[in-house]
Amino acid sequence: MSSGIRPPRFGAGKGQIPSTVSELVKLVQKGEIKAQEILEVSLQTIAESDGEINSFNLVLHEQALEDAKKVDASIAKGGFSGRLAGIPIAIKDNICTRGISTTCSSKILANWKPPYDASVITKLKSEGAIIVGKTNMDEFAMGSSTETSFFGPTKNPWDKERVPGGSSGGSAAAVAAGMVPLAIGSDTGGSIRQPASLCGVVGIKPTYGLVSRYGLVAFASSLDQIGPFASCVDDAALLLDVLAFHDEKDSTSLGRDRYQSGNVNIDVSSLKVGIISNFLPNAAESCHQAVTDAARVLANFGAKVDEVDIKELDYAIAAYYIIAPAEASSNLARFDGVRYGLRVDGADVEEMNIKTRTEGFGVEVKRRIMLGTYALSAGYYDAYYLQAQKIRTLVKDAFNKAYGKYDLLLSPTSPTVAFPLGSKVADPLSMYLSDLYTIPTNLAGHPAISVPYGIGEDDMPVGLQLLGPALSESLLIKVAKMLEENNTDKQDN
Amino acid sequence: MPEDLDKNLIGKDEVIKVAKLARLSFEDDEATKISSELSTILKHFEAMQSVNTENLAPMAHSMDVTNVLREDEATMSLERDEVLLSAPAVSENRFLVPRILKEEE
Repeated sequence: MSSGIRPPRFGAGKGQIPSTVSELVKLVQKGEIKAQEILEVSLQTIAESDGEINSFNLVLHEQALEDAKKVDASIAKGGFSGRLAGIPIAIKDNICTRGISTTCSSKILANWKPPYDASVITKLKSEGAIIVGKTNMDEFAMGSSTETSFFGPTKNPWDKERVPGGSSGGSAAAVAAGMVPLAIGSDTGGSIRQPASLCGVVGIKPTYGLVSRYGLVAFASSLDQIGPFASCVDDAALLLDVLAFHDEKDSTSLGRDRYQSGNVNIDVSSLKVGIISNFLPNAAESCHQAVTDAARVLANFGAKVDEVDIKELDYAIAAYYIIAPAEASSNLARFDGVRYGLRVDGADVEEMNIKTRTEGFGVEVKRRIMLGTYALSAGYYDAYYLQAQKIRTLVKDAFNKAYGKYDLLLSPTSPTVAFPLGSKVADPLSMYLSDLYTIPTNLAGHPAISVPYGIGEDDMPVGLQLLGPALSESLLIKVAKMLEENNTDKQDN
Repeated sequence: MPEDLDKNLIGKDEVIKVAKLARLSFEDDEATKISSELSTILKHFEAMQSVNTENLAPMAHSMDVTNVLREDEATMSLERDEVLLSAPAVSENRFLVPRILKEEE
């Protein structure tokens, strides 16, 4: 098997681009570097690398240039305080952008241009971020490798014979390959954290409700959350801070005051950290090692680190693969060939519906719709869907019990480093099991962060997952940053 | 090992029935494949059935948000022309669909 080589960070060897987004924003605001110049670096890197990596479904050359010029003009006119002034960002292709293709990497939406912007898009624009393009993903976010995309797979920038993870594989790869400093994705069962881990970047799955889902094409509405990708913890935290706001267009939006209230002084030496021990036996050696190493670093800072067996989490994956497909089967009923997307003609409306959906959806999407429809159908509802919902309660209660004793929990993000392209795609069950460690968090609605921690098998990156109770993002970010600073394999800037 | 379809949790007939509910159609060989795949998946997750959940309430939503209300103020909705631009077929500012009611015999 081939091995990985760390790709260069955004702007490396291309002029005076500092290594963090916050430094870059300061330079833009002071007029020392132009948004247009930064965009040029991004577009140039995409031109050099993306032919092979395939992280973008669409690159917005002209629109991005126009937006960058606007930011430069307002700075020249007397200042612009946008928190992401002039920063190129990549957007997962299931987040609506007005007048710009939003395909969910599906044939059924291949030509769809939404008539509105997602709330997070409106926000990013108002903060001066420059949307560079829409990124590849598993079709409708259903997958863990970005191989179910109608537009072909994305390759891992560390080793192009391997997957980038998924479903937000395009966003993770775009950041990892230095094409953009920031990207956003969505996480229903690990779709931000797992690709972040496999591509060696930082990814955050926020508390359910912290980030508006208005304009995110729904997969499983009670689990979906939009979140950031970046090459370091500080940049991911900055982007999360921009994304966290109250939105009345999303009735599950929590409002950021609840998130800020968690931002108290944290003394690492008083932290209690639990390692989820029942996750470790099926983790690859390097993934297990990352947890052991991180635990040692935290203990050196005075934190109390224990192993904790939360056996209830072992049932989470079964519950998830009932609940998520059930919600998906309902959400995807909207793709009926009537209002948007593909239509394949039929003699009557029902035949048109069936032909459209049969031709428009790929194999994995159909498999999940079938699984979900079955679980919700008469005679099976109690045994599957209702039982899964009760197990969801069991999982959340078990987490909350653990958080009564520990401030945060630690685990690998993924059981393995990035696997070879094609190695799991024919075996759906083995693909599903790659989300073993990320899924429980979504069922509970809690936040988690994946931070690169060491280099594992075949020189591929390993991700460490920090999990915390609802709205504990500030704590997770602080501890992740500490671990990042003490990671011996960290990137040279 | 030869595939024993009788042992499948979801038989091919069941697949055809569920496909109809989901407005999907499968060729014969696809239905066989799906029957075996879904059965494998559900069998693997069967451990879930043995969990005692008698005293647990089902959870549909993880955060406690209820009855979110706002002022009833008129705001702009989506532009009709822009919305219709996405539709596969349009007639007189409406979505156009094939015949719904069957012709009488």
